[in-house]
Amino acid sequence: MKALAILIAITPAVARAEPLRLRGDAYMFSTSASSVGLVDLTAGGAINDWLRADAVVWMGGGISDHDADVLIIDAHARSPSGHGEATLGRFVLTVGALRPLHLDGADVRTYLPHRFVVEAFGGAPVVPSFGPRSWDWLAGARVGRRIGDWGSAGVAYLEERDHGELSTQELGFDAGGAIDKRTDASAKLAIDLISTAIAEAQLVGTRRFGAVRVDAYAIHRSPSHLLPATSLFSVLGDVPSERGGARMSWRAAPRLDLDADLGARRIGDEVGADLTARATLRLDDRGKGALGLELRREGAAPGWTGVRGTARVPIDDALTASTELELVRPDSDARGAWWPWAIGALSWKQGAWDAGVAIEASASPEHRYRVDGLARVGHTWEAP
Amino acid sequence: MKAALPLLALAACASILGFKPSQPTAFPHRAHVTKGIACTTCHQGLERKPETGELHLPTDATCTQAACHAKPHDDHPCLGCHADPDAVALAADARDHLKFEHDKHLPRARGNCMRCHVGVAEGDDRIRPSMQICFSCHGQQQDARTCDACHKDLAEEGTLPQSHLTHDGDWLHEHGARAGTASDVCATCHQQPFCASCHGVDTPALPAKLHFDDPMRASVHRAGFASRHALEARVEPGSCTSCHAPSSCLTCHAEKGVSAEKSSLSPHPAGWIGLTRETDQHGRAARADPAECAGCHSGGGEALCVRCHQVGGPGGNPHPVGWSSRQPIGALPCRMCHPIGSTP
Repeated sequence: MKALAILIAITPAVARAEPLRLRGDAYMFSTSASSVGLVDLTAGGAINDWLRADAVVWMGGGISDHDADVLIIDAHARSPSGHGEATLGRFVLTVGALRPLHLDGADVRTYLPHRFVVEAFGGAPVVPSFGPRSWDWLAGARVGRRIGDWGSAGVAYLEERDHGELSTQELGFDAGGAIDKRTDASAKLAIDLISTAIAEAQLVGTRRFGAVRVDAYAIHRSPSHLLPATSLFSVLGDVPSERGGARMSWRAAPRLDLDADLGARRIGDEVGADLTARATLRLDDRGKGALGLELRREGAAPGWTGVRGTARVPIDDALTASTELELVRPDSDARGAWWPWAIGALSWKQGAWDAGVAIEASASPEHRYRVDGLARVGHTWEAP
Repeated sequence: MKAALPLLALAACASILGFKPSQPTAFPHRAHVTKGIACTTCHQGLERKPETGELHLPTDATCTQAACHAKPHDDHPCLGCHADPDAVALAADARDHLKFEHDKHLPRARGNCMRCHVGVAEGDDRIRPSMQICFSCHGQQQDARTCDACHKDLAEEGTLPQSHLTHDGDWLHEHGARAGTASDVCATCHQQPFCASCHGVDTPALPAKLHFDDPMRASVHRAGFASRHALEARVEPGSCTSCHAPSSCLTCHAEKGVSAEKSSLSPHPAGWIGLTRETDQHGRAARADPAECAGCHSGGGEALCVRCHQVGGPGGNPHPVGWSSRQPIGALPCRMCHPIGSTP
């Protein structure tokens, strides 16, 4: 936060489209057994045309192992000519087919002639609450090329060390784009180079037919290769899971969306079906109010079947009531026959202030019944 | 009356679903252009006025005072029938959300508005230029994929892409693959706090918990996820480790003092470790989702495994047939079971 304040102070004020914002939220989550308080501060904005900064800081009691942490504090600069950009600080990085990385470090991207893009990054994996480090670092790069106006492809490499030991060495390939006005496709492939195998692969294709959109997807994931190679469990073998199927979304009426997902999963020699059907009805043209109903079946053993209903109803310009109900029936009764869950909430927004209160009730394998109270008050400051 | 009831019900349903009676037609731009009427005849002041104050849209008086339509065919407002009723709102919306000035573009287009507004030639309902038209001159912005060169404050507006990277369908599950090739485009709207709310190592609470009053918001951990999470983790091994550190399970279970089974602190069922291949459960489960084991047994907990699985121990070889690794035998995790000097 201090760095952000200094950055703002030393930068000359210029006209910009996006103001600097500071948002503060105070939360209270309360059960019959305990109460938890949380304050979340989010600051950020474009300081001028080429520099922006962001920071997220939270503090609270009983939330996690720590009482406070800095989730993000970074500055992002872009050359005025648009030929390069860089990020410095604590940030989340998404590079090609590599997994998202939360790091303290730097990332530099350059746009070269012939539509080549080169990106390099390095730093240390984030340790919660700025905990101790011991020769843990990561570095990597991606080389990509834009293909016409419609897509891009690239190859990325990541090496990560934990206490000086090699924990991740991954090669990623990615490609994607809008093939024509109605068709999108993307694919990524991550290969574990330490014990050579595919760690993760994903292929998604989308085709739109007027009000209907159809997606086909296939995912391959190998958990042992997603673990750090310093883990004993990364040497147990390779039983990847595979998932494939198709989704269809149909705007059946101007305010009614229908979705269906028909898929199957395979884990080793076990195969199960995944089925989801969903309807969403907007109560007004802008969707401020909406009703939803979802049916879901996950068939891979041990499976479950569930129904979920949602409603968001504006009472007036400032006040909105909402509710969400879910009832799940697990295939096995060993941990309870039914898992009901419900929440009723009231939210209010007036100018820069907003607030919400809710009651959440559930029965689960952990609790015969549980009732939580939730409250939030937020305020946003903008300058100028 | 009875016959009217189904019609009333049908009308009510149509209204709820958002169907509306037929709208007035779009303004006949094409017909005006083909008659040689310059755009600035009606859209007066475009070439000199800044994009502030009143919109550069004609009124009924513009139509009648220019002597083109001095004698309207009836007394109704011209634009009540001959214009899209949302046109004014859309133009105001564009001015609010786009960085654009007509007066700077007109000289470059040599006064020919149709160099950008090419849709006029094709019909009357698509007048606003597409982004591709902008990129025909502003290619550098396209190459650098800097949407904010033209768009104002996209993140706050909540504007969703319409032509590609569309966020409909099951976008939550797709976004990873899409972001792989277009992370710079994503970053135009989604700044670091947005990504970190899910992918950050030490988030204070799940996004679904923080946005408890928005049930329509997509979330992996929606509704009663706490009850379902063990089942969901088992049907898609490795999905949790996409975001969570392997030690997350232990942290939470230890803090809450709960296990996955009734009346037991151990999450494993009776007979978890069998003496024979047929009765053994833990080996098969571990191969199916080693990440689940690592959720509790990583770090110092791995010592529990090594008691049996070290070289010469009763646990036997945990590696599958054909196992290989580029790790040196003295590195982790090899040295946990293969003491220095032992043969691989």
